[in-house]
Amino acid sequence: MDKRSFRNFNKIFLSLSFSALCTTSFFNLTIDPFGVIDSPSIAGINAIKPRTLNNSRLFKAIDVARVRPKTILLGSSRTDIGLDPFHPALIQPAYNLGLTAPNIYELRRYLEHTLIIQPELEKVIIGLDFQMFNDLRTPQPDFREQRLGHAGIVRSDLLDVTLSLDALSASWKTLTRNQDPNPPGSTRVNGMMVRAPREVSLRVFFDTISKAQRQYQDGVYKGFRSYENSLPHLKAIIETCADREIQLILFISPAHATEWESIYNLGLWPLFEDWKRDIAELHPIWDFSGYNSITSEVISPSMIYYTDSSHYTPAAGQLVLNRILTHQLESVPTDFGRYLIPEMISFHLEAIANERSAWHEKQAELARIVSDIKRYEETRYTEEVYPLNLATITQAQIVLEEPSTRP
Amino acid sequence: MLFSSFTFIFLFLPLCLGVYFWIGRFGSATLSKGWLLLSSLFFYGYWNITFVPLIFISVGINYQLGKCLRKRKLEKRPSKIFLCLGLSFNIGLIAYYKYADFLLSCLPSLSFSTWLSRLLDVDNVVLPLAISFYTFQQIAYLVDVYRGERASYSFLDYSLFVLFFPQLIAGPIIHHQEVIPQFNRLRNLLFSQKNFALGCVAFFIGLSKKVIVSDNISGWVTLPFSHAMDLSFIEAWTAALSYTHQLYFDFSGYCDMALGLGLMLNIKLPINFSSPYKSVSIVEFWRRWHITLSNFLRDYLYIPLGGNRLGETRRVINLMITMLLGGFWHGAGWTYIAWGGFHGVCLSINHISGKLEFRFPKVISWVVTFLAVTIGWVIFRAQSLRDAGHILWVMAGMEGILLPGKYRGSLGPLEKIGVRFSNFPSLDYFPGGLESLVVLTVLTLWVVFLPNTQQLVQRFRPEWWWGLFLSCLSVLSLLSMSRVTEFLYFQF
Repeated sequence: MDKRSFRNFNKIFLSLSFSALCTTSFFNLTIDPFGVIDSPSIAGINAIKPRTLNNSRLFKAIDVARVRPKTILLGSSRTDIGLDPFHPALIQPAYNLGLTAPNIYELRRYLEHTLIIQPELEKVIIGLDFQMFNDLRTPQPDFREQRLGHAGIVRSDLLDVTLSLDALSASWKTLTRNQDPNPPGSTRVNGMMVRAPREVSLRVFFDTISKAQRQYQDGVYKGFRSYENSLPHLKAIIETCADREIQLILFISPAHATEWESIYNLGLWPLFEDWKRDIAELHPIWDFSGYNSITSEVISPSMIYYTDSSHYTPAAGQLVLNRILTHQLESVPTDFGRYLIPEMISFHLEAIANERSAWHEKQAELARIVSDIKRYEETRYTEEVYPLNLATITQAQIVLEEPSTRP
Repeated sequence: MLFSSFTFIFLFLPLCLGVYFWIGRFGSATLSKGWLLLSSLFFYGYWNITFVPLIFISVGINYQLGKCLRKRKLEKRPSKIFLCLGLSFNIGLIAYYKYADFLLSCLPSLSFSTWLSRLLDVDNVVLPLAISFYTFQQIAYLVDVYRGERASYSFLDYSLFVLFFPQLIAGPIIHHQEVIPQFNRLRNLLFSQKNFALGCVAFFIGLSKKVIVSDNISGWVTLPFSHAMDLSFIEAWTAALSYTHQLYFDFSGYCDMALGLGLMLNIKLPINFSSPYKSVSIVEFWRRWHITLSNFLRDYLYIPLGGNRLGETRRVINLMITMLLGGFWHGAGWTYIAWGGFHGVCLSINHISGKLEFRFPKVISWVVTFLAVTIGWVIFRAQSLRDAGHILWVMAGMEGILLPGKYRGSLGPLEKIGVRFSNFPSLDYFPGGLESLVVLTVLTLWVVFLPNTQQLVQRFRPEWWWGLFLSCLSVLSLLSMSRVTEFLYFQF
């Protein structure tokens, strides 16, 4: 074989590969499916970006620098879908910095990131969840330290969003989604995931209860024994805000009563109460947990305040913001939101214990199902002790009782 | 630096090749080698520069010891002392950096081991990259010089032999006699269109094996192996088979890339894999898997121990010692030793059955060999011997056979023989689901029936369709690199 044929082969191979890579990069940079490059937004091409919904850590690290907010709403996915940054009592611009399943360290780093790019931050509202403080919980795989602390995109992220199959598939999906005349199911506005109104899926609701009580794989409270090493991160947040004279408001998210019942079933209730006590020692905190008139909402496809046992809707989020920002208080049920300070904590914890007893009386069937789910989770491979499957659970849970409060 | 990174492929490699062949035009092998050494040092130090002095000290001391051995090769006693010094230095270095923690944990007295661990500052020891590989290569060099083989090299040649970047991180374990002469061939200093094309074929086939196959099935391995005690039948089997393929595609892919890079630089590196999963006996498996390691263990351990020259019993003992130490070389842990021991036993049985002229039909031999290799990988990958034992127990069906309920329709009759189906909850450690079964079947057929990289390189013709095929493969591989997992063999 002569030398020329190898030269031609090399030319063909290199030029084909190079042009394919350039075309892919150009396509991805134009569509910008993750919303991190500031490509022009063109209707019918890339104006709707569904992939920003699942990449909160990447998208928000860059997006928050564009908005340069005066107020941030930090927290988990509960905050992400529940707290509206356009609430009238918030100092504008406000930005929803809810991340998917973060630990408290990640929240601290995103607060520090925001402070670097926006030193004039005035107010920080944080929705705290007990599981964020599980010492065993590490930052999620999509958390990247190097993308924080500066505006704009880092090199590794830039490579990922231009030269990867993931980006190519995301761009293609974005393009086809934009060709679809139907409005999108969810969008991001000032960081918040705004979801179109939809029926609650009972399957998802009960799956979430299962996940809360699971003690293997992706169980929410898996291996939770201590929060000792996590608390210093909250302390650092409190100190940073105090040093910068930023108003800090903490609250415990109003997950559904079945979530709190799951914590109880797991034997974590004493730890949960200690956790509240320790936080109240550091900083006052609004507590929306427990079995109050909002969290006890009856489970049905037409729920107003919940999408599943863990996530509350913007309707509940509005009540939370009304309560903590002292806005239209007449709309907020009196038992929704307790202000925890060290002097009052025992009183409040006792009140929640009483609420639990009342809930058990009113929704005995649901309480039994929640504890059944716990039993299923413990004996997961022994089919004989699984008398119920999901269909029978969802049939059994219909409790004919009206919720005590509606907006 | 990883081969499967953009920095390597788009910055380091073009610059290294470009300057190397530009210098080559002046016809000075010393200058070209100097450039390659500099590039290799940069490649090695890019990850963690603190390891560079250590590798240089190791290279320097071994080179000096080699020189002393060469000078005194006629006097037996001093030579032996220098050889022992060299062996102690190399083994001592690897023992401290790789095995200290493990060896101290095996001491019976806790207080003594804690004291020793503090004294040696074991907690802060970080395993230097590639130490296992360069230790072996240098031991081979010293032993060869001691044996009086021709091994007179300049310091530049010797350092480049150890540090040559295509083989530095994960092998193949090269022998000084097969590589150093190639550095000095003047023709090799000039760019070759043919070798570049062949190098690209090997490199991109290797890259695709790593990033398209291995990295994509790694998710089916990590989760079940970290929950070994909770696995059910199908989960244990998919985990074991996924790891069997992940390791092969990862390691052989990396070696293909090394071979390809060598070819681009006109250096022919030894073949490390030759379709190991086509083997119909364990003996054959070790002739096809990590060939350069097998050769090293054979030439520098098994044969010096007496090999098969001292009768069958000694042969089995020598085999067991070789395999146990070979296992231990892979990692500081009981699972690695057990893996080596398991293969030692299999090899011994294989030899004895060979003597008895006992033969299975070929298909059965393949099945038995593949199963034995898979069992070996379970021991190798498990986090502890207890985990390994449990996974193998479950794989044997000792805890019953549980399949996902959705397959009841097609596999329903199996219920008669004790197979159970579960609707709820799902199988949590079966992340790939049905897809993983299909993929694993395809991969098994691939490794058994399709040609390997060397065979493909041999069949390569500079035709347009090869160019199109290779472009598609390279683009797909490059676009799959953003989810690259750590290379498995780095810690060995």
